Amino acid sequence: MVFNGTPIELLKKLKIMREEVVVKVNGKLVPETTRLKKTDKVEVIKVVFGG
Amino acid sequence: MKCSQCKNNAIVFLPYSSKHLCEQHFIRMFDKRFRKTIRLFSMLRKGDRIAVGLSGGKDSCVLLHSLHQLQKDLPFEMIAITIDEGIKGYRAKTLDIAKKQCEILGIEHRVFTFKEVAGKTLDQIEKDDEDKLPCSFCGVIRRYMLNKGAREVGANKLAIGHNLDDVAQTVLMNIMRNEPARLARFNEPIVSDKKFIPRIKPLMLTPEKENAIYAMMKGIELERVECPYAHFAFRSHVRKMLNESEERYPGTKFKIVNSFLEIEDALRNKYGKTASELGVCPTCGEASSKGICMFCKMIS
Ligand SMILES: [Zn+2]
Ligand SMILES: [Zn+2]
Repeated sequence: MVFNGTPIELLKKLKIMREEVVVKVNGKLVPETTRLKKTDKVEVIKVVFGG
Repeated sequence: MKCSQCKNNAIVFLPYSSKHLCEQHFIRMFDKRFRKTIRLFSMLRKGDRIAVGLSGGKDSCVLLHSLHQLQKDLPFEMIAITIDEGIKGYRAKTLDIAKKQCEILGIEHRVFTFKEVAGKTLDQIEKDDEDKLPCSFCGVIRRYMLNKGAREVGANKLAIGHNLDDVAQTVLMNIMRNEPARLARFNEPIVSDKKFIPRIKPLMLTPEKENAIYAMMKGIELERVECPYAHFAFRSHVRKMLNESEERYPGTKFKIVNSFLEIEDALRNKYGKTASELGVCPTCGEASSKGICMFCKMIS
């Protein structure tokens, strides 16, 4: 998928709650305000679970 | 994006404070808040023997790490205790993580199984009578067994990994269910008692997501822990609601918990009864608010 924006905008688009995930870009933690580049590999890791 | 406090690259953005932080400054902020919380509520004293409720999830692992770190500056004893509820497939992985963390840090570790306390496994009770399991089942069991375990290892306090999200959820849930008396008892003052080991929550002002980030930085394995018994429906609803609010109005969780902390004295004055004033269960002899305790009712 090609996306032009920040992780915050990406999560909004995917309807994923920001408070429940951590975002890594190219294997590294980044602020979710970082503008993504075309070649970036984005990982969304769920860290909040029920129970 | 640069760190708000130095020239390094930021790795995290905290919307509630509008701050970007690098790894070093994030850890510094995290550790400082941890110590401040302990000080604020006088959670630790020199010479304490602390039992740490270690589930193997990220929150309790971070708690163990942070307390271990604190031991360098404050002399107190620490022993980790894990409750194995005996739910198939639920505890195996986290139990491994718990063991490993204790080995790495050189902390004594005890595991208490539900079976040795109740005489049967949870899955067996579930099979016997499906209707008997109330929605608070695992919560009741864990609370009961952690308290008993902490006493058995000679601890005078029990530290648990409840984070800001947990506390905000509990506060809201008690309000939404109209249970002000329960809310009054939620954050009990630290009073020693023969039966009831006082609980401390050093991470109660730390957002859950930040625990996860901290765990990642400290090389703690993040394991998915989801209880197979579907009894967290209401908490899940409140969690979702809170997380949506936090996204739109950053700082909501802190605000909820802070208002609670502001009014808890007034609540306690009105609804009275601290744990030390509770009675005793006639069946098992543990602390109980009225007659036979919840635990004994459930396993009978
Ligand atoms: Zn910095
Ligand atoms: Zn009992």
